[in-house]
Amino acid sequence: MDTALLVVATVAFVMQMFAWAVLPNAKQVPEKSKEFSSIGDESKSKVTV
Amino acid sequence: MSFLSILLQTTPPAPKIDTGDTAWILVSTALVMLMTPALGFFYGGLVRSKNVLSTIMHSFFSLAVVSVVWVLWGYTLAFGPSVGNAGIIGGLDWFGLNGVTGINTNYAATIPFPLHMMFQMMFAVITPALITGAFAERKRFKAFAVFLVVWVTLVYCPIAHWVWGLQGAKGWLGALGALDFAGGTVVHIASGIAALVCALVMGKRVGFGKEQMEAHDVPMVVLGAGLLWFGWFGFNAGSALGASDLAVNAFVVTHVSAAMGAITWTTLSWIRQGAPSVLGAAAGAVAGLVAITPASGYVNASSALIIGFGGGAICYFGVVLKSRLGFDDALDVFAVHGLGGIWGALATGLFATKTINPAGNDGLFYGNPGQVLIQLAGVGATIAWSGGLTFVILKVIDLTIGLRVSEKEEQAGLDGVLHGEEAYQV
Repeated sequence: MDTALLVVATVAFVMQMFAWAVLPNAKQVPEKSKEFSSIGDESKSKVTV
Repeated sequence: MSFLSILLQTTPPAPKIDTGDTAWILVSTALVMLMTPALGFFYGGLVRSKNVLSTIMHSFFSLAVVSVVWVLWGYTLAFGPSVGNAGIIGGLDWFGLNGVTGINTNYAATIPFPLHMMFQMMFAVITPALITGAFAERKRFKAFAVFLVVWVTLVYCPIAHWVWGLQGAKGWLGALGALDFAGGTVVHIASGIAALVCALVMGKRVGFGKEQMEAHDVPMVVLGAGLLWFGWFGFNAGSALGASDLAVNAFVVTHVSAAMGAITWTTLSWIRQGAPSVLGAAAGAVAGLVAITPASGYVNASSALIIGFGGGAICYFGVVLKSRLGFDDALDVFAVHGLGGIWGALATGLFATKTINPAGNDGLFYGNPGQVLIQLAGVGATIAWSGGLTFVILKVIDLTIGLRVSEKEEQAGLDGVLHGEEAYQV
């Protein structure tokens, strides 16, 4: 079981590493009001910015 | 055989204070204490600049008020001799710390009894402070002060007794076999559910959904998150109540889960928003820390990676869901502490193994599926008690004192209106 969990954990990390490689470097410089204060258009959340 | 040798063979050794254990729990207590002002910075940076002092005051005042409550009646209600040996609430035997001296072998055989009291005090201090993020920027200070005392007494103390009570009888959840090493149910689910109820009862802030309510100081948020991460080593590794291999394991898995939570939230924000969010990294670390809290004394590092991954992802999508549902949990307490705490409690039932802690139990992945059901019972009981009592407390306060400031006061900002001070002279 320990080995299986370690494989799952490793995959969870490595997949993210690959995602970083293909994700954009950064979004266009955002309008201050939106991109740094919400998740897309659905959030006024403070935490997620 | 002489009388003396018979006596030596039959008398158990007297409990003795271990200086290493005592030193570690002293340090851990101070670490956990630091978490509450750190939370003040974390929350303070997230609100608008006109409300930063009132938000920091919520945490700082909790440190003062709950400490006094704990000494007077909090500790005895939570950890005192169980009334009727029912495991529901402690009696008043230790009111004002009466009898809290020497060593109490029921709780910790190698540290002074008052140190156990102090360590647990810091947990009681931070739990209601966590809730304050839900009603930030709109709650009257006197309503908050009363809420603080009543909530700790009626909600926190009983749940702590259910899970951690050992005097006279085990708390009923502890007796059932529920595993909560450092407060996943007692601290995070209880506060997260209370936060949800607060947000629903108090309603939205003026202008919510119509105007931007940005975090006014992101570096302050990251500073707060960093100090929380630092303090969490005391929270989880200190819960071993000794300088032991169990404490070291808790230290390791705490760090690992926080790291994976930060990574996962950052990746998700990057995918969905097109940029790796700094605030997202801070929130993700906290989500990972919340999730590992109940499991930290029962799981290994591989499991901690998965728990941190789950914590980051579940809490992130909890925030997305909250936004779509439209309620104003201002600083996402329910998403991070409620959902993160529930995930952590259930994950403990999945990943726990006796190879880490022989005094614990195995989880589903180690051949004991029943542990998940026990964890579910703990989650359900905590949700029901915290949710129900918080609702009643808020309604009573609303009818007597009033929960919210006026619309005009809210627009002016609570720092000036409630405290007569301004954070920044710019």
